Amino acid sequence: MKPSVFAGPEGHPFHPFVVPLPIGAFVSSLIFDILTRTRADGLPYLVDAAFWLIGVGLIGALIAAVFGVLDLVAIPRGTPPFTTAVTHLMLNVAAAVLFIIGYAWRAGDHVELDQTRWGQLALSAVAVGVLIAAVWFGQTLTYHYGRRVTGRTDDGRASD
Amino acid sequence: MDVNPLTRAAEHIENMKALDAPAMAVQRAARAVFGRGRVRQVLAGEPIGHPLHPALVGVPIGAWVSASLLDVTGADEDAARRLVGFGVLAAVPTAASGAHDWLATEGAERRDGFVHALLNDLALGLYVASWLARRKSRRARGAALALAGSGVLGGGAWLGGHLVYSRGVGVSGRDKLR
Repeated sequence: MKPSVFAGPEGHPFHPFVVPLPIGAFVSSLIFDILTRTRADGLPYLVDAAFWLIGVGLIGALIAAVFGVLDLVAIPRGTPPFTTAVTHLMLNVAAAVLFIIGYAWRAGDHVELDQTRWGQLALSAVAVGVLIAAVWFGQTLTYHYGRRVTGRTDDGRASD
Repeated sequence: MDVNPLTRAAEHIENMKALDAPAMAVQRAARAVFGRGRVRQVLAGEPIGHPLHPALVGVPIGAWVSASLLDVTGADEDAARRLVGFGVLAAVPTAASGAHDWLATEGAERRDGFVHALLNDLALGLYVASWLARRKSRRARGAALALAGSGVLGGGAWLGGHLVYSRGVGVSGRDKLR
């Protein structure tokens, strides 16, 4: 099946091009959380920035999801790459839900905090872990099954 | 010929034989640095079973783009500087793993990868300059350097995507394509 034109031209899918923004924003947010914990008096501006970065990550994730779903629907149902793609999607949804919970939690208290709460930090750490697993399944689609790679058939083999 | 000007640019680079001499000289020098052993295996992504470089690129790119977003919204000077700095640190293992993957390439892919690395190294230099400007509290200059960096980085990323999705670099069993 040919993917939608909105998923990017042959040999240049849009999904992998937009995923760096949410990945970098979420990882940076977690790094900032950790930094606020390295000083006894905290770093209030990084507590704010960590909250803001989760927001950026969620917007970026929504954009990435649109292009990702366009690539997903072009995979024949019931095939191994389809199962991998659904797993990739589910893990990303799980990570996004964890970050949405974290965002809502922080929205109430990030202004008055000097350090990110341990619970908020732990939630983000788990979410980043889930995100890394999601990235791994996404890589399986590209590097194992050859999805969206020029000259690959639907079952991942090189076409003659 | 492809209608997309960016794809045409990538194909133009693939045919630039003048790049071969400097690219091969850099490859020879880099091979001596990387050697063999555990570090090389990790850079290749052997523990995860996939190339490591594309898994890492999101971290510096996302940190840097987020820094520019902070600049545009005018908020939090110190957080923007920290983001640029974190991106620079994250770029080091990203570049090392990318350099490792490039060592195995030749011909058109070596040329594409060489220019991909040059653009990304230039972007890295612009972000280092941006961080230095921000440390001297010259935010406008730091923001401008970061924006320039993101433009160059976008070009480098396009070529990286071209290498994987148009040429199949790093995709398993791709030798059958030849």
